[in-house]
Amino acid sequence: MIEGVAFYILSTVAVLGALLAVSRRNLVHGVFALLLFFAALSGLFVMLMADYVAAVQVLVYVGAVGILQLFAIMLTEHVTGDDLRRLGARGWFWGLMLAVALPVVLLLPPLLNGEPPVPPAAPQSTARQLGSQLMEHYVVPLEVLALLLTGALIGAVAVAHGPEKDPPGKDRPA
Amino acid sequence: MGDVFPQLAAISPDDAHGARYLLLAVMGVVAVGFAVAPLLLSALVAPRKPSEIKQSPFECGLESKGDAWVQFRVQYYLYALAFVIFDVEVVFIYPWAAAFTNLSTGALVAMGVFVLLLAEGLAYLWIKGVLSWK
Repeated sequence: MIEGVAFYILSTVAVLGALLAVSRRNLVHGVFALLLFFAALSGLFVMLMADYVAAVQVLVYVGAVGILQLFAIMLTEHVTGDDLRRLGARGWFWGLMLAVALPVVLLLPPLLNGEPPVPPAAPQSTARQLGSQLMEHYVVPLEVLALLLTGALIGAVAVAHGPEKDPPGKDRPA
Repeated sequence: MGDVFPQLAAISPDDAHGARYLLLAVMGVVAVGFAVAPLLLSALVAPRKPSEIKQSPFECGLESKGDAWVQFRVQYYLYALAFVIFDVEVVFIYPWAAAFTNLSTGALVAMGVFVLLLAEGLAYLWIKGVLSWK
């Protein structure tokens, strides 16, 4: 009963957040709506007993990706969307088709099958098990991942920072 | 919910799980309420006598100049990028820390190497002077 109520509240918030995110002309408002969507999604992950994924959702998506998008948008010129320019929005038709097709393709076969598959007993703490697995079998991929992240950071800085040609001490507008 | 989505009913949380996160949900509601209630109250109760000065945005007592929607400098973005990378690092440290009591010394060394490899990125930023504000 209570999880039913929680599910509908979280789903409503998620759908509203997603709709606002794509419909607001002010991009900054759009990002905040997207953050709302991420938070509701994290709640839905909790309901699926995937507490690690929920924590990652909050840590990375609400925390970092949202901030990154805000900064990226504030780097652009017109963020408020009131300059009457509009991007070509003809993609909405295919977007709608995809939005309808995805749940149909994913959900219809199991629903038509009748018998719901018996899920395996959910672990009490997924993070703990993941940690043991990570350290037992996936140490080398973990270190490779660290290299990849470092490479990503250095690459991003090299691209965004550009060649060091700016004479020191020259004032740039904030 | 079971009658609408049998799939979801089959995987719905058990009682202990639900009870733990119910507390979290209550905390969330209280937190949002704590922020929204004063705004609502002041909107309902406060007397309204707007004037030019009162309507102007408050900026530490100075008169504000220009638009609030300014273009940020690219340096903010670099900070955000570094933040994202180290946030992803935390994603891997978190399960490691949750399982820490069962792990061997090798795991400690492995995570040490992981952190050091990422610290290398930080050292690069530092040497490149990205962290010093110009």
